[in-house]
Amino acid sequence: MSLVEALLLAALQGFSELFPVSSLGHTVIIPALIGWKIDQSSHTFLPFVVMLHLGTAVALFTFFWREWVSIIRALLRSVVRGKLSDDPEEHIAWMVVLGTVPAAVIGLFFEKQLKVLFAAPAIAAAFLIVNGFVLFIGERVRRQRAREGSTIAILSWRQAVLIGAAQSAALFPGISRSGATMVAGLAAGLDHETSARFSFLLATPIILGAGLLEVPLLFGPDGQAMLGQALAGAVVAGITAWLSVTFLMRYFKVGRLDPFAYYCWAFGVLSLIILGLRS
Amino acid sequence: MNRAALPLAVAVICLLIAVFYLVPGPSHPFVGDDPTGSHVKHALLFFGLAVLSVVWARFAMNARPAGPK
Repeated sequence: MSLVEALLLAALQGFSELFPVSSLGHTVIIPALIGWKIDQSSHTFLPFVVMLHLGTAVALFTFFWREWVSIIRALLRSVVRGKLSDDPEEHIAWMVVLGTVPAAVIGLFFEKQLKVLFAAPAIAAAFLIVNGFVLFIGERVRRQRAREGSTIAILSWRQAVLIGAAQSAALFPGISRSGATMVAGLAAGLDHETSARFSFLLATPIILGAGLLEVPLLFGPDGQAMLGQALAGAVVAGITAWLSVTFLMRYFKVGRLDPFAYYCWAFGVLSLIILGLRS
Repeated sequence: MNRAALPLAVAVICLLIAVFYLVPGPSHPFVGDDPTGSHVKHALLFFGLAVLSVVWARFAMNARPAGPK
């Protein structure tokens, strides 16, 4: 992989990771569409992806640093006290923890198997169309349930776990992590902005954890071979992820999920047509 | 029954599973490749779940008993 390809892939990953349009789907489909010969199952590709995830996670942590300080303080307070108080910050902190557990368990157990089964461009394009339907239906559900000005603290423990579990849908290339969690949040009665905030808070430990657990790869021979591209890619992924989250948190103050659904349908159908014509 | 019994039982089970994934030799389920190797990521996950279960037990012990208001 050349440096230019690495930087473009990093920018693609950084932008699409947080938009509800599936970064995994895009990183499977786009190289196939434009004819990049990138072997995403190669040993040298994984350390590169690790660094992209770390860059994205650092951007998310930096953007929400006040929330994370508050969450960590609230967690420590409640653990030291040995009981939960009525403080909404503690409620939110434990919901982020509980929401992270199902995605971590399901991701670790099934990620490799699902990647092997579904990481083909045509399948990812088909799932992208499904993702469009998820977003579209989620938007319809929101109109019946959302409470303007809602906070994460209105969620029950069960709802937090279900929203967290929705992240696992992103194991299918083409289904968006943030899209699935946002739709689950909307279905639970959150408004767009709160749902997006909770989605990004839930995504941070998962993305960071997935990156940190693979850090030893960077110090192996495969990692050394890709270190330059990986470091540059991490910076680009971090910057683009920062721009994405800044845009999305502003957009979801008034914006809706429908435009992303239309995009997923259009891009999914177009990709299927192009891939079909080529085969 | 002690309200902390269930979370403590879950903690012990998670700890045992963590050790199981660390030990090379047995065939580990849900690991993708090299089922007989040592799987640190799986072990870390279950160790984390064990810690969470201990916190759950602590919360359960200190929870107010339900009763008439």
